[in-house]
Amino acid sequence: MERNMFALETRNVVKAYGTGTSVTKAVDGVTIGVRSGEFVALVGPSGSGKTTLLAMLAGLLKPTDGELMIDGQELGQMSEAQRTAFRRQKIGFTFQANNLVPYLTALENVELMLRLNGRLDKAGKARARDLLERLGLGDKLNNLPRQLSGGQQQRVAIARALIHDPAVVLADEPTASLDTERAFQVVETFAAMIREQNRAGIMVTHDLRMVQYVDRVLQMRDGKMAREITDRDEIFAMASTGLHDAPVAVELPRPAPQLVLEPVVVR
Amino acid sequence: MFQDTKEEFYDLTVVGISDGRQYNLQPSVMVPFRTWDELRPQGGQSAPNAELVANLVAVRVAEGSDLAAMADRIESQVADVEVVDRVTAYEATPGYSAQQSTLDTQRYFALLIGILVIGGFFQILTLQKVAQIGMLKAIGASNFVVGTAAIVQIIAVTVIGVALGAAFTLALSLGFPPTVPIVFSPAAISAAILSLLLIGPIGGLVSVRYSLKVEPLTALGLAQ
Ligand SMILES: Nc1ncnc2c1ncn2[C@@H]1O[C@H](COP(=O)(O)OP(=O)(O)O)[C@@H](O)[C@H]1O
Ligand SMILES: [Mg+2]
Repeated sequence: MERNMFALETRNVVKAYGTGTSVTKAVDGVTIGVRSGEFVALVGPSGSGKTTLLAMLAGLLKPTDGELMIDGQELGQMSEAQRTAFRRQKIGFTFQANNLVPYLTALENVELMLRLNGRLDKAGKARARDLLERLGLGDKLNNLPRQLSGGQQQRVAIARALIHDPAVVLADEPTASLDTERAFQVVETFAAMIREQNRAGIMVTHDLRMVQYVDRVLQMRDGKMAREITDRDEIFAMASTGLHDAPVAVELPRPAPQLVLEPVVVR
Repeated sequence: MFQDTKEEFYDLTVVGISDGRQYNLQPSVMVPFRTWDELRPQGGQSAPNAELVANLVAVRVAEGSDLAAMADRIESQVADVEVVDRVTAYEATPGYSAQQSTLDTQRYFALLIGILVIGGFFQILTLQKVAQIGMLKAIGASNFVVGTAAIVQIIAVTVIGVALGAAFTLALSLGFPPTVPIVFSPAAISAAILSLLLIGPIGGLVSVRYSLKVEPLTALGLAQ
């Protein structure tokens, strides 16, 4: 079946705000599909509906219309409690800011995701430790978030978003608070992990330079899917236009130092 | 000297000092009945007060006596006397009930203010954590988990706070001069500690409710 090809799929999904004559369609009939192991960027000008779409994909917002399937389950039919359970089991999430619990160490923040799922056992603890080590945080396991840089905090969030074997990983502006060098490192690592662990990854970003690490770019405008770019050259061309939809090309910085990602057996 | 009053001085020999004897929070002196009759104001010429009188006579009866029969006998043999039990007697002390109700009002208001202050304190802590609570809900923490965490933390903070407060109060009370008429009875202390332990969670209920209402959408900056 075509349905089963995608870890995540929407059909003509709509989110409308307001009533009567003042209805705004923040998301207006979007149809997308993302496969496991595929990393997709969601771009578009401010107000084009990226965050609203992401919120629906995460089961945080109910679509006004359309269908929304994740891992073979229709989100629109679920109750609030069911969607909450679904989020903690099937979805990994990173946010722009306030990603981590400030009183928990890096390791505890990652373990939290397993704890919420009632799955924090010895093996889980070992995997959390492993994941953080592979994200270059082996010597920061017991640091509190405030003892970590912005980039390190985002990596902890990435580890938390991956630790519970989610079907889909959603990232809302993961580089918003990072400097250029760290931003490239974080997204590169993120992309590598998503492919290696075979998750479906969606990253909302306004920083077009970040699209060089994705397999596909979905560009939104006025709530609609305006353009889909799969061609590598086109993606690189877009990445070289720099931040936002700036018309001037900027020079891409040298590739960030490669993180050594050793192969790992998942589960 | 003013009006009909004239100050007079008497020499009394102190034979001993008793503990905790006060009348209307004033220090009091115990003297033999006859001595009291000599010392007490005798009134002016207009109101000769020759008769030996007392406001109150405490009677200690032997263990196992028939109190009602005793009261009847006293009332029948002594003129103008009313026999009452001990509690009725001191509650009838001038100003006693007025003062007691003032103290009670203060006590209840202190508890009420405690609920408001502690509740406000927890509310501020909760408001500071809205982003964090929103994030936790977005990654799938249920309202049950969030609510339980809030309640457990409120109880823990209250218990620690009351323990510190009780220790501090105890230390303070040891430094009280003996003239301060406060007695710390175990019953009163337990009642105070218990009601303080209760008002923490009661004051915190509002913030528990508030944390349940935080929308997970705040994690995306999209709360409605
Ligand atoms: N709660 C809301 N009520 C009304 N309009 C909203 C609400 N949330 C978002 N919108 C509108 O929906 C549109 C898309 O917003 P958003 O998804 O935040 O876009 P983006 O993330 O691409 O900047 C905007 O026009 C915004 O004003
Ligand atoms: Mg947005």
